[in-house]
Amino acid sequence: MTKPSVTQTTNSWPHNALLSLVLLVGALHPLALQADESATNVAEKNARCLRCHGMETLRYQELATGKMRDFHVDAHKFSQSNHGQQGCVTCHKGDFAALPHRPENTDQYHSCADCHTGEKVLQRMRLVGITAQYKKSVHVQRGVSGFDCFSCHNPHESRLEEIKTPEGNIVDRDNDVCLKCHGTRESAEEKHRIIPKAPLHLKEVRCLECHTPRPGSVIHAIEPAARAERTCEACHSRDSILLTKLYKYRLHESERRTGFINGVVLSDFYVIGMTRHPLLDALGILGMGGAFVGVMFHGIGRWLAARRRQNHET
Amino acid sequence: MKPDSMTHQKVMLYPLWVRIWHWCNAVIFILLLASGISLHFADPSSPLIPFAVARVIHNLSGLCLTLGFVLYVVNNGRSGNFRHYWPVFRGLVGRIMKQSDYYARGIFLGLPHPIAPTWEQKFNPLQQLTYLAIMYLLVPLVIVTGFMLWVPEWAPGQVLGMDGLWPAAVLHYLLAVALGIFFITHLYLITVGETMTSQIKKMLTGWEEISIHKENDHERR
Repeated sequence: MTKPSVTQTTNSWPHNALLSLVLLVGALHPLALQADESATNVAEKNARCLRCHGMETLRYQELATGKMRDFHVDAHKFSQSNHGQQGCVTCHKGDFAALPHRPENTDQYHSCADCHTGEKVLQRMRLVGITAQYKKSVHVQRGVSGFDCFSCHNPHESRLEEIKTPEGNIVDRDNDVCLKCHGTRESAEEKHRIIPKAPLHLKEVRCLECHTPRPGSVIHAIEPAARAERTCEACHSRDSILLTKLYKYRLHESERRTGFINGVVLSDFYVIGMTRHPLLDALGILGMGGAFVGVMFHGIGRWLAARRRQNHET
Repeated sequence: MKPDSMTHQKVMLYPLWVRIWHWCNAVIFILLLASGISLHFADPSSPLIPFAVARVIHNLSGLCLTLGFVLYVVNNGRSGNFRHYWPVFRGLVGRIMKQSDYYARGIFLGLPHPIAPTWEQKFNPLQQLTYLAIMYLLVPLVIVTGFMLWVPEWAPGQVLGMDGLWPAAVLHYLLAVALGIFFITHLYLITVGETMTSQIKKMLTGWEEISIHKENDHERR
């Protein structure tokens, strides 16, 4: 970010007054967006965009496609996001002087890889692997028009700290992304009637858990519905796929806190087949196995005793 | 009891509804144990019963167990069959010791059963206490916790900072283990009658030979 620079100072009041007037008029004019960044700070410049784009109602429905176009940016979430210190025009290219903006300018913006370059950065952000996964996704394979990173990831709100977000919030947030294009919660529940307790499953886990390949955390290679995970054991087992996806970042906590196998998920839910206690498992096996062995020995003892009695009698 | 005041008689100790309920329960127990083990130890590479199938079997069997349990409790009360479950506390400890000694020693020596069934008490004290605990404590608890697992919304939200379903799940599992142990020993104890098959015959026909007072003979007919 460039620091505002002072190019010239003077003590003459008529000069200052004139300069202030020019700056005021300039600041109010849309053309000011293209003014030299050093003239004012980023937040002030962004505020000009947010005067309109901060309004929740800044959206319209495209007549040709029927799709809702949303141009609203949550100013608070943007300021808290990892991109919050960037100027709007750092990423949005084009001429925004005219109001309303010309359509050819509205869809021009930099992609993630335009800014996040260099081997170390790419490695840290795992962008290479993510790009490879993304290219295999159904959205790319089927050439969904206008689909890119920002169709799912909102650069105005994304934060690296979200990794620490409670899983329940992650589920809601991620599923809402899918439902932006794939109907409503009700329609999703209807489509997933094959799953027992569909509303509960859709509330507790992400669409991504079943609609991405297993094993591993390849959550950007979203698969077509026909290839979705359909076996219950994928999650309801000791090696649940939830551990490599939703709970990937908390895997290390697994058994330490509760003593349960896969205990990391217990703060959110008990999963039959996945969350088990090794001691209870051993107790069950020993109890039932012990009963079986016990009655077997008792039976053999009875048989041997009966034979001995018979031999005595004869 | 003086032997000359006693007589032996075959009486209907296991009426038809008890026998139907018993054999239905036997099938339900097998289904619940097999499907429950499959669900708890679910493994995609070596499933005993695939999870999706086991879930349906377990839920339906659980419903049947519940229905059977309700009918059993109602009929047990109405028919007077409950008297066999309620122990006579006087001398109970002595009878328990006697019966335990038989299973630990007497049975190997070929001694006769120490406590013969009567019209009032058809079970020996160990059977009686076990059945009382199974049918009036363990089974109701396993049904309640089972319904919590089936409908998680019925379980408390959080317990000790974790999902409120875990105590129900742990209790359900422990009860299932206890019932599994009961099932194994119950199967074995079929063979400890007068002959290897006498117990199973009794549970198929309902008739059992009991010792009764001569003066009360007319009441059992």
